[in-house]
Amino acid sequence: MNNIIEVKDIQKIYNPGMHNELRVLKDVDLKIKKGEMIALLGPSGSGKSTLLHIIGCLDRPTKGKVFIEGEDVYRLLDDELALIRRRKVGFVFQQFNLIGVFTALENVEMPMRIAGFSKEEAEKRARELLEMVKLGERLNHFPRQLSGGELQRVSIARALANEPLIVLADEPTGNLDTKTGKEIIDLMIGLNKKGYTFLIVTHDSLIAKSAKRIIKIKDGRILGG
Amino acid sequence: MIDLALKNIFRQKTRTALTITGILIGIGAVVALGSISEGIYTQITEELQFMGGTIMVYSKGSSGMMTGFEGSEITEEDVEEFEDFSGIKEVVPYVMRMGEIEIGQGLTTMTIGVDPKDVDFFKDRGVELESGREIIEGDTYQVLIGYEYAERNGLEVGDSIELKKTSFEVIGIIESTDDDIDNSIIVPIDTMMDVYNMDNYKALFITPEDVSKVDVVAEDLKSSFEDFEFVTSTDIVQQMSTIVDMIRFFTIGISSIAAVVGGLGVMNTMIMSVLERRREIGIMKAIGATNKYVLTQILIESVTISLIGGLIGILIGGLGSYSLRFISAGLATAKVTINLVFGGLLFAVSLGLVGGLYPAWKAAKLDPIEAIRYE
Repeated sequence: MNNIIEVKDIQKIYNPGMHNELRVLKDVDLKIKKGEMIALLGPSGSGKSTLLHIIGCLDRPTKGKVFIEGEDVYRLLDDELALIRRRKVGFVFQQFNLIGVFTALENVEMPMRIAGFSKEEAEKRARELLEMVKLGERLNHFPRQLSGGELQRVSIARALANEPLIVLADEPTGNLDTKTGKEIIDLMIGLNKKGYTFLIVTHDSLIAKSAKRIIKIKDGRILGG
Repeated sequence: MIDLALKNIFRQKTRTALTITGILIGIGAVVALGSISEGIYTQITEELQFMGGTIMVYSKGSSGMMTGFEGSEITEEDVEEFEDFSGIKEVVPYVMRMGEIEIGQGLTTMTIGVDPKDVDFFKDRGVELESGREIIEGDTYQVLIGYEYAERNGLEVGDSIELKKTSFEVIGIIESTDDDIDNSIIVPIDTMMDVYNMDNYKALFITPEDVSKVDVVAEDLKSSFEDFEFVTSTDIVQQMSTIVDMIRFFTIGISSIAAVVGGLGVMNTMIMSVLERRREIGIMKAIGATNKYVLTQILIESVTISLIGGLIGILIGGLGSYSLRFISAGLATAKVTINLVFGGLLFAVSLGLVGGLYPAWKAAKLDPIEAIRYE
């Protein structure tokens, strides 16, 4: 079994049984192997972000199971899910979602501080990660002092902080111009070559071209893959 | 987590400073006002220590120690009768006169007459000399004076003072005892009765043979001598503790209201802070913070605020109580006890905990997906 993640018969229904019931995901199955780089494509409202959140232990499905390294995660309590997010999942968001009052370094330290590492240990590793994403000169800058591309580099560094099993990226180039977007894609390709697994929700055809595997989703169903 | 908490609470410096001030005023008031009742209590117990193991005797109808046993008359024959009573070891006669209130000082000087042969009785009860010598048998116009009385009047051993137009020589100064003795003049009892035209003693201190049976002996005496009051320290403690408890209830009770209002300030600040940081808290949860982590983080922040307020409050309250002692020239004795300090700290911490609980719970149950979407 070399699938690190297995999604089985996932359904997500908002407001079930009510007049505004919304079926976002319908019987979704998906298997992810270690080292993959998957692009998840689909029009807006197709349920791709919801699927990403469900895989990332952020959002409980209405029905179905998600196995992460064989563990049926939605049988766990909320705080246990948080521990899985902490250890096994790295998120990269379209809106970056960095904390404005913290420097780039402190933002990258945060997942390690939450995981109980000392300030010194967290800082050492955060520094290395930021140097790896070529932000070694920007350690003590606050998010408002950084460009879009730099912000996304910081959030990729943050996603890698606790050596995750998988990096889940939601439209990582959605807020960037083409050139900067290309740099972020190249960074992710480079990281994938180092062994990191990526699942990227995107509209960006460039990402689609770079990905080893493409999954299309429409109206809550997976079309191919 | 503490470094993060400190960083977070000082993001809004003015708001945090105001919240801290709220707690500070409350806890400061608890300590300052509470120290007054503690001071009164300590003063009483210290005075009682003097009578520990003894029975104070004065005539029925006299108003007792507080008014200098005004109207109490005990004859030499009475003393002999007490001395013959079973279980009695020693009877120490005592006369006392409240002096005139000195304008601007608010202090009363007491003149106390003691028998030179009873000097050991007073020495046993912690009365020690700072300088000079004790009164000995044969002394007549020689006096000991209290520490504060000496300080105030610039008196030293060898100087003379005047009582009832009679000159006395100061032969010793008594070490400060922080009670009435500091403002007393101690005169050989025979001379004092002569100068003040007293025929009888004002009060007696009776020491039983077995000090642990003092209350039993006092009961025996009460049933045998109907014309006298017999008071033990136990009796006084019982009477005074009701009054002290009332003072304590009012001072600490009223100031606690101020502290609770300060606690509401903490709650308000934390609610605001959690609202402003919704998104950030959502991000923290998305990257792996448990509900417990978020809850603890917010609680640490609110307790840090209230603890800082509490610490400064105790400091300021303590200074306030100390200065009260100066302003009132020792009349109002305020005492900051260990209990007050720890009570104040504990109170501050619990205000922070209680005030932080609701905002912390709100923060912990935030849905990270919604919080992240929220712009």
